[in-house]
Amino acid sequence: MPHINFEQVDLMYPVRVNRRATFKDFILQRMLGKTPARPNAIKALDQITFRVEEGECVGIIGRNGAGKSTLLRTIGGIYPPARGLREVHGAICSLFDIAAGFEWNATGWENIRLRAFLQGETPSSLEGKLGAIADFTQLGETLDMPLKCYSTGKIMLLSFAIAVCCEPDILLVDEFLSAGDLQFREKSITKMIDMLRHSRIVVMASHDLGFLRQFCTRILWLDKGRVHEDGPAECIIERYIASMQTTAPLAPLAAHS
Amino acid sequence: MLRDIWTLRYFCLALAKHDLKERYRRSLLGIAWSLIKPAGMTLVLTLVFTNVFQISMREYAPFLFVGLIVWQFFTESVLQGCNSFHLGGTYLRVTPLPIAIFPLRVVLNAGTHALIGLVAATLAIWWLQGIAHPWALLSLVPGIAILAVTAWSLACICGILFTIFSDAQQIAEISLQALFYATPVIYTPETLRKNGWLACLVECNPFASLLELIRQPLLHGESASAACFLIALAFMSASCCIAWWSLRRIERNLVLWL
Repeated sequence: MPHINFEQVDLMYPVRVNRRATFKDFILQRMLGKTPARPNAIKALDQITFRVEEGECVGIIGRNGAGKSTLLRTIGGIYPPARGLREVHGAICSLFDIAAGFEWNATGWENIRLRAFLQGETPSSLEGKLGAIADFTQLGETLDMPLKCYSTGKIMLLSFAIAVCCEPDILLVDEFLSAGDLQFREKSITKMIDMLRHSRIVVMASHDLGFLRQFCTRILWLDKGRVHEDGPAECIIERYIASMQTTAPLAPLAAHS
Repeated sequence: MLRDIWTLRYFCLALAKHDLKERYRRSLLGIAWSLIKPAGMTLVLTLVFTNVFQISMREYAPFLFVGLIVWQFFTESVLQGCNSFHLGGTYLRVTPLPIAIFPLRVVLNAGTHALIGLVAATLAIWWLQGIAHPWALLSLVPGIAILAVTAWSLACICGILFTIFSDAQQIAEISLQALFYATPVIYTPETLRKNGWLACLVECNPFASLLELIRQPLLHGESASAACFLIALAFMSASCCIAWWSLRRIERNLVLWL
């Protein structure tokens, strides 16, 4: 039975001025015990507690920097919690970043194989699914071309097709589908509804409230890394919109001139 | 960890295959470069050192060619291993993976070049000198396995060090350069007999033993000595232990560091 269970989960994100430490940092911090001028880590998730059962489609909303993507990546097992219990049962597939997990000079077919093998498929198990993936994308001969020739929409279609055709128990989507055209959106919704019918879980983070309202049954509203509210989609989205309207509006441009 | 890597073996092989294609994408000679590079070096160095060491070209050229192939394999594995986690970051941000898969990808790539070189070396030696005891070539199998596992563990260690300290690649480059001269790649161990401490240094150098595991069966038609196997196995075990310990420590948090 696929399910997600988070209890009091904290996530610390290391902050580094440069991408990597140097021996200077190492000597200053470890050997001489000098504390750095900036903090070493920030708390990206703070005591997150929730449970998602099979057949649920959960939307995650919140302002920029509220921790939506971080929470999805923690559910996906990519980021390790610093404290608390993270319990996820079921095969996970994630759609986080269009550019991530693809080789740009490889063809569409090669990328399908790479991405499917990454999800644990074998050549024999994939053989039967290749046709379904190609059919879903309707990319035809474009699949013989290198990925760098694809538009963003086509790459998105390809990622989604590979993800759902590998039949995951849990699908994690980060601000991904809302960028697609109407046809892609309808196709993806149909496919995800089909997934939910088979008792699977979908968790998606988005700023597209209309899309979340149409598709999700439940919403987690995050604020500063904490669960601000958790409840039925319609009700939480209404409160979220109301809270956005109460914040101070931007000063008109004319005032600056 | 090894079970997870086995589950993802098709992914790792597909990545290594893609890397090979990518490396020679616009090249005229393609993978033939894996032979041309050491063969060219062998030609130049043979012309120079056969006069310096007063050795016959027939003996020195195969000795040098095999040495250069093995050394090139090590250098490629270690230096590309430094950047392997960084290159694998695109996949680590999509799904949790056993991170040792990325140094393995580098070793598979370098190993393909080395295997092509070794097959060519075997054929060349057969043609030039003949192989007295073909059965001795079977000892190449454990030799190559020890070499590959050692290179994999060193690539893991260097990858971790480079992820933490950006200076690690430069240090690795200098260390490899120093090791190249401390290992009998271009000179024979016999030439050092007169120089006591240098001969002792080469004898203790595990890379010299690793080289012997490949050279002895190919050049002399006999398996490498038990001492060579023991030193190579001890070095492999030590580097595996360090790699295993470091991977266990850093694996969970590596993605946050990339």
